[in-house]
Amino acid sequence: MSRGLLLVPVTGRDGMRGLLYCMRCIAAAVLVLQEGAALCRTYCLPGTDSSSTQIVAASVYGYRTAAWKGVRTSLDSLSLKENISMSLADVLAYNSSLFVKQSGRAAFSTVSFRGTSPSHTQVLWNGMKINSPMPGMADFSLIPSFLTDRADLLHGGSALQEVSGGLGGAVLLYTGTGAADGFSTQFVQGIGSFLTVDDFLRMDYGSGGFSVSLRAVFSYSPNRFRYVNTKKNENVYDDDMNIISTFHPEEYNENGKYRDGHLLLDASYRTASGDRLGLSVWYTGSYRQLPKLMVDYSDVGDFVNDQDENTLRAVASYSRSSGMADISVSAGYANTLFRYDHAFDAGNGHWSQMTGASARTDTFFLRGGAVWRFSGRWALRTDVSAYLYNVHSSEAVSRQGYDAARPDAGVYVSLDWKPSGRLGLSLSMREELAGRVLSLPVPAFNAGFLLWRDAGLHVKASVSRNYRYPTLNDMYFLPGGNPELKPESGFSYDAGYSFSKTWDNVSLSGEGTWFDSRINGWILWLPYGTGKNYYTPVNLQAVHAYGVEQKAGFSLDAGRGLSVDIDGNYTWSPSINVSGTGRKGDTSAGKQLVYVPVHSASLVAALTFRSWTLLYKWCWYSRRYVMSSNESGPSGSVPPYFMNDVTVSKGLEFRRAGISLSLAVRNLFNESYETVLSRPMPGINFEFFLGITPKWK
Amino acid sequence: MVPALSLCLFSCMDSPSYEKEEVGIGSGGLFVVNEGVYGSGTASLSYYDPHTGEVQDHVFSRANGVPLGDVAQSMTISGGAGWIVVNNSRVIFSVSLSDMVERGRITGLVSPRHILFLSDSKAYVTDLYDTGIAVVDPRTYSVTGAVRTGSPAEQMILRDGYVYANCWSSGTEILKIDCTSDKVVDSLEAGIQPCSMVFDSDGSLWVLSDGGGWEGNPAGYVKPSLLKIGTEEFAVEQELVFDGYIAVSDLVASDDGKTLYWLGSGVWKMDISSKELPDAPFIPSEPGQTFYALTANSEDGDIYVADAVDYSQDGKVYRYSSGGALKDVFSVGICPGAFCWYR
Repeated sequence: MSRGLLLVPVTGRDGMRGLLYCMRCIAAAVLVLQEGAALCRTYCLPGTDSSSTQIVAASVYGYRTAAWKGVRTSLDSLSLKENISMSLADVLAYNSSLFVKQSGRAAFSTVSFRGTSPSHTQVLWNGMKINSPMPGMADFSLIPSFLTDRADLLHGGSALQEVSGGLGGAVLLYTGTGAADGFSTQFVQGIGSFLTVDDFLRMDYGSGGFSVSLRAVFSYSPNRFRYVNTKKNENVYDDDMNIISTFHPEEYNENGKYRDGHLLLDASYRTASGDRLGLSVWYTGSYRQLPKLMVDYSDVGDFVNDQDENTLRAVASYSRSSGMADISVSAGYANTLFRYDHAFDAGNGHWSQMTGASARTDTFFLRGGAVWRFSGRWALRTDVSAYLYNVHSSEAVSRQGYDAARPDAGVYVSLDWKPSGRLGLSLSMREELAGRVLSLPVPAFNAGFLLWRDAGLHVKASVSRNYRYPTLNDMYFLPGGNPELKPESGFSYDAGYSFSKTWDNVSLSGEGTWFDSRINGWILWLPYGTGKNYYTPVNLQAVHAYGVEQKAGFSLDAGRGLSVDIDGNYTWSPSINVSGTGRKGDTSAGKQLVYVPVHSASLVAALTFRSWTLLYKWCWYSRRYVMSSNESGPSGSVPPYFMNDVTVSKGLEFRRAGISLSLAVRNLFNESYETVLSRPMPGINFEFFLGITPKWK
Repeated sequence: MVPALSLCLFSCMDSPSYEKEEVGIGSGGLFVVNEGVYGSGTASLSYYDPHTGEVQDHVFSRANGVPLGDVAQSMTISGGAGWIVVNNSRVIFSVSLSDMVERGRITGLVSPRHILFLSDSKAYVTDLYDTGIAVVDPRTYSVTGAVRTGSPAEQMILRDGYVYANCWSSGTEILKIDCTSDKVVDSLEAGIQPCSMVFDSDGSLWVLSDGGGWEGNPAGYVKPSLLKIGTEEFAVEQELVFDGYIAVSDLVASDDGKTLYWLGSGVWKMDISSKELPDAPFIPSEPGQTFYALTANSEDGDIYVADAVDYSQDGKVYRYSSGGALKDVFSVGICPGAFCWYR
């Protein structure tokens, strides 16, 4: 088995504990200048993020897309600021139609749109792509929802408006400053099951056109939950070593500790003439152990299996908006240092190192864009972006690794035309350069029509082509990297409707989209070499992903402080391996891709009465196949997933501070389950949150 | 909305579970050890009866109500029991051969690969990462000591009081171990990554080295070779170097020890008296075939080749006559990687 830093599925032949931590906040004085192209308001659950501050300057890059153009889901602050223990993966699982694959609590989590793979989801933070250039994916468990002020999901070909390579879609994350004027702070402390501690501190200052915000998030847990291991038998022997009885043992989730810290600084300055300058700096320090498999028979304490990741990201931006034109430029840098160690105590103090992988990635980023509006009917948008990736990857045991550098660049031009107040048409073109390879032009066409103005009923459709270039691991990983790989490419079509209607105290909204996407040259890693002891990526499969996304929202203000909000999502997404692998005896052709559910749904319902809120969340994924041949037995699939969470919150207002109290109950029905085969998940668990927002004035 | 809420409140999850049932195994058949998908705990054991053509899948999990584990590596029969080495579960299960019910297990291993029985009370276990061979007592299922080898060892063969072990992963040596003192008494360079070995009818040790397998391998990258080693002098008597950088593995001998077989874009066959390598495979693989394991039936000389297909679906086993004619094809578990005959 290959022993390098390879974040791809592998299948070969080989294969601490602690005290409670307190919140630490490191203040850094950095002159910050933040673009503020959009305003958004923070609505908070009582008892969670009780911040009374409004986000006055979110770092929204560039152009605000017309409602008729593509399929876009915006996550509001209510979803993002539910409680400080939640990662963006948790938020997306309950509040979107995306499929979130989580390997465990605070473990590697990926997100995919419309039956595609996680590497087909592009993630942009304040305009800069943050997918790892090595495996091409982003770990959503390392993005605290409290450090995100707005998240937009661009489904399918809509992603081309911002980035290429998002064959499934794109996730756009924005951060910004808070207090309009003066100083404000907020502190939230969470304490929960399995000795879990979560802390959040936010400090905002604003004066005139200048505003600055500093946020810190810290999470720690031994994560040592107890579960009945139905995949093992505990043997009871007699004196002659004969087994006289067996039972499924109760075990702890061993080696599951995590300790994540984040520091985010946002600042902006806006002049009276409309210039905006901004800077966002985000540091992440993460230490995580990798829990034992349920079928691992090694003893506790006789192994090391953990990883460290330190990432610094920074984006500086300038924008100017006038009546006819907007311009914006930004520059960014990201650095990640990653280490993974796997070793076993072979006895007598001798440790057998299985893996000692490390990697450093540096990303340099430049982007510029402009929008010109003509006569109220035409809009021309241009966008130019460039990335330079440098990767150094090494593995100490096998002495394997690679150094690679690749410049990527893209040019995007779109022309929007509104021939009437109801009809909008848009034609766009994107051209990409990856290393020395220039893509074919990537066109997209969008059309939208306002069918019923009173109900806000739009019908819309789009067609687009898209590309995804192989990642640096795909091309250069040793052993197995394949420099001859071709880009994955495909056509996507979608059509749908959206409406939003508000009566006096009731509002109803909905959106439905049919989509159809064909992806050719799907990159698949397969075992290779003598003894099939390493993997190599090949362009093999043709995939047909199609289906329907449906969203619905309902809210009722019943008066006297009573309100009800319900939002639901449902996705039907067959994602069919059309071609198979081409191997003799292969039965995967015509089958659903592994770990992609055909059906997924989520529902969030909030009942608010004055300062009390009851939040109920539910998520469902249909059976996910583990085998490419779609066998449904216990080793071939993961049973359907249902999850129910409840949160009760109460807000208290005092003269000198606002206090919030919240109790979150996860896995309400104490389900015993797995989301990824042989990875244990916790039963019912609780976390209590105390939020304090001092009133300085 | 009401149906949705009802579905929320009245739904519950199942864990992937294995039902326990009675399993019956008759002798004379072939166990197929299926690795499963790494990291998912989907290893399994299949059993094929060559006389009836019947295949029983998942015989371990069905008999014991739990999965076999993660990455089953090899199986050995000794003392009336089957011993299944499950590499990434770091366990060796002992099972009753007639019903596959577990009799006990050996733990405390790092990354076990193969087990070799020296007596009823002593066995050696090689390890992919440990630079030593574990000494275990099969009666108590306990690790009792170690043979320090300096490099991880792979296969083992017992001959005349000595154990011969090849150091495959990033290794170059064949080790000669005195199984009384549990010490390495001699070693021999045998090319880059000697991957498998077998004794012939003349008592010579044949070693197949894969040459490193990929360009840039720090262990080295050369053309694969087949070596004949005399055990008296413990020296290389004959070295046959392959023409190209082909992937080779799984060297086995016919029951009479006069013919060698190995994998490399098909099944290759060579008489032990040959002074040069054959020009072409005896059974060429067809496009899209990925041969992964090889064995020969001592009763009728039939050759069995495992094909892992795409490594994430049930694999295939092709049964050929000793003349190379296809006689049968049957499905087994995910990623069939080793065979074990139940005589």
